[in-house]
Amino acid sequence: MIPMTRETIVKNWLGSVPLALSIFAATQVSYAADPTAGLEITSCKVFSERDDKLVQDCASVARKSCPGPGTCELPIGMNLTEGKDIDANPETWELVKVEFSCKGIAHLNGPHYQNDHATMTLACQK
Amino acid sequence: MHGIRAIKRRCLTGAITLALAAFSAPASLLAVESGADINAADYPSLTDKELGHVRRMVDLSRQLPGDWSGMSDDLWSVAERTQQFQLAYMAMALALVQHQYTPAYRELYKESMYQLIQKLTNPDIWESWLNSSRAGTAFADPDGADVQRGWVDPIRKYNIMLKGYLLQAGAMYEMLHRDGAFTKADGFTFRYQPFTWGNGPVTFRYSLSDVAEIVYKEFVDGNYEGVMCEPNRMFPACNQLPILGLLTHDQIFDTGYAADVMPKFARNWVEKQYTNPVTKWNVRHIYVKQGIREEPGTPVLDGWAGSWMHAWNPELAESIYAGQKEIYLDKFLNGEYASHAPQPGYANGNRTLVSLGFSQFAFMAAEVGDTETRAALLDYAERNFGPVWKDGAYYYPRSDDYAPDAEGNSHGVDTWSGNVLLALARLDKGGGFLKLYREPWGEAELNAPQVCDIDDITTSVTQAWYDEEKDALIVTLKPGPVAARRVKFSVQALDKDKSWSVLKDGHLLAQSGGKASAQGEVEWASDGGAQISTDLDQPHTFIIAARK
Repeated sequence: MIPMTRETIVKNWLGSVPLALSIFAATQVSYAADPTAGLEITSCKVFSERDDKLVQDCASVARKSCPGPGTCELPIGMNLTEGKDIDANPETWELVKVEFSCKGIAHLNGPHYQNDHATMTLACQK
Repeated sequence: MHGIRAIKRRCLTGAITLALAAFSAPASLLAVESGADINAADYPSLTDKELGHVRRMVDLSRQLPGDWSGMSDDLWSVAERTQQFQLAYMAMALALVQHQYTPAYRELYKESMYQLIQKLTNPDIWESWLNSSRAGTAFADPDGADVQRGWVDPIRKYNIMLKGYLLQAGAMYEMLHRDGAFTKADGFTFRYQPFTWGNGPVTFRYSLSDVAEIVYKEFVDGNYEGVMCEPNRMFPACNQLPILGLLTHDQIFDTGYAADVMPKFARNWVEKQYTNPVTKWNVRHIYVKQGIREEPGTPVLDGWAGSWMHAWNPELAESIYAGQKEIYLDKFLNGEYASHAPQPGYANGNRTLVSLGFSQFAFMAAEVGDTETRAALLDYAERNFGPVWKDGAYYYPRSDDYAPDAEGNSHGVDTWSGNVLLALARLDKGGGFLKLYREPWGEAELNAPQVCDIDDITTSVTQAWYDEEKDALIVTLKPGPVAARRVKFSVQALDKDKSWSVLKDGHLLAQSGGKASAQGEVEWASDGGAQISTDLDQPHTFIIAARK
């Protein structure tokens, strides 16, 4: 082990500050929603975990729930599939994946399990 | 008028006018005054230690979100640790005190119960479910291939060790306070919001009745054999509390869930021998798919099951307790049990279980009414577990000193035991929870006279009881933990069409209807409420009684 002088320790510590600040800043960004960023849902899919050929497009329903441009909590239950279980098997769960854009930059939320008690938060970052 | 505004804010809703009149009661009136024949010692009250336990739980309920000071442990082998159990048990301990010691003083218990239940929806508590839901080959499913995808939602399926406790505590809160805090659609809200991993933010919202419906359905779908904790593992111990939650839900909403579950689950308990008739141990858990029973039992799970089972099936619980007492009691008191404490780092165990076994058993002994055993265990705890007083709170702080001393006594204490399990053993004088579940509050109890607007920093309420037969409210206040020369409290829900007397330590202080104390210690409101001011350099007992 190389013995560290006080100078080295200070230098190393200072060197780590920008990294720490950037992580902190990134954390802040994620929770600072920008209502003017023009959130727009570009894709919404409900698909079966058991059989990936079983897919239902839910974009139009999702857009009605989240017309933009600001942050939105999108219900991701059976509302997305007109109340239907798309693989008709209550033992298996379906997944929901939503793509959206903010000022043209693509974002993704999901997949999460389709769930009448769940909402997905869609937000653009500042 | 500051005091009257306080009454309006926290106690009364109607218009209030002050009615002060100079009146000093002649001593000759005392002999015939209503309430003078009431002896406060005839009513339940909290001892200093019992009150200290309550204060400990109140203090913990008030910690900031994410602050688990005094509640942490090293039970690394259990994914959820013990904090969620501590929270739920503390909420239930406060419910017990509310129901059986101070039913006419609610604001402190209501606020603290609410905060404790809210903390159960904190990510620190429930996010571990994502790991537990993934099962795995070693301890969840011996026939499995690998860990599974798992799911985030802590309520949707299994996880009875969280949602059963949410149901029990949330339903009990609603039974005692009826403010709909947990019955609304988002009563239990779980926000999954990590920035460093995962598939994006998602929120789960459930009402109390949603949880009850899901728990009931899982009992039915599982042939009333029990709801699973993790995938493929059913712990009989953890299935007691959801049954009690369903019972309270039935009492409030007339749903009939527990009425269906209780006899069928009890029958399964006997037929499937969840208590081994030979060894008297309960099975630890069952691998559902394989039908494999994990034995031998442990005092942790045996006490856990028996204490709560007694509240819904005392006959079965007491029959099981008798055999388990034979197994455990002497070993706790002579140190033999502690001598088997796992060493630090032991792969599949934890020293914490030594303390938990002792205190779970103590709680069970208390609930089944074995007063001798309860006293012996509490005495042992007093001698060996290093209880402390801190700012009016009384508890057994965590100690990792588990190795038995020369006399064979272990001094190790885990936080679940020190904060609440031993408190429950002291507060439950026998059948306390059985009574709580058999005598739910209805309109009469909810609308009975009560005291409020009490500064709990300066004032300890050790007794608050409304005697319906005598139409009298009996209240005892003790000073502290912070000293105050004078304190105030309000009385609400007195029938305004009646005339009331206020006695302090047996002496008439004031009467409603235009008569008040010369010192203005009692202010009457037009809707029947009152505000009472008193010195508090020593305990005082007040009796507010309807005049005949």
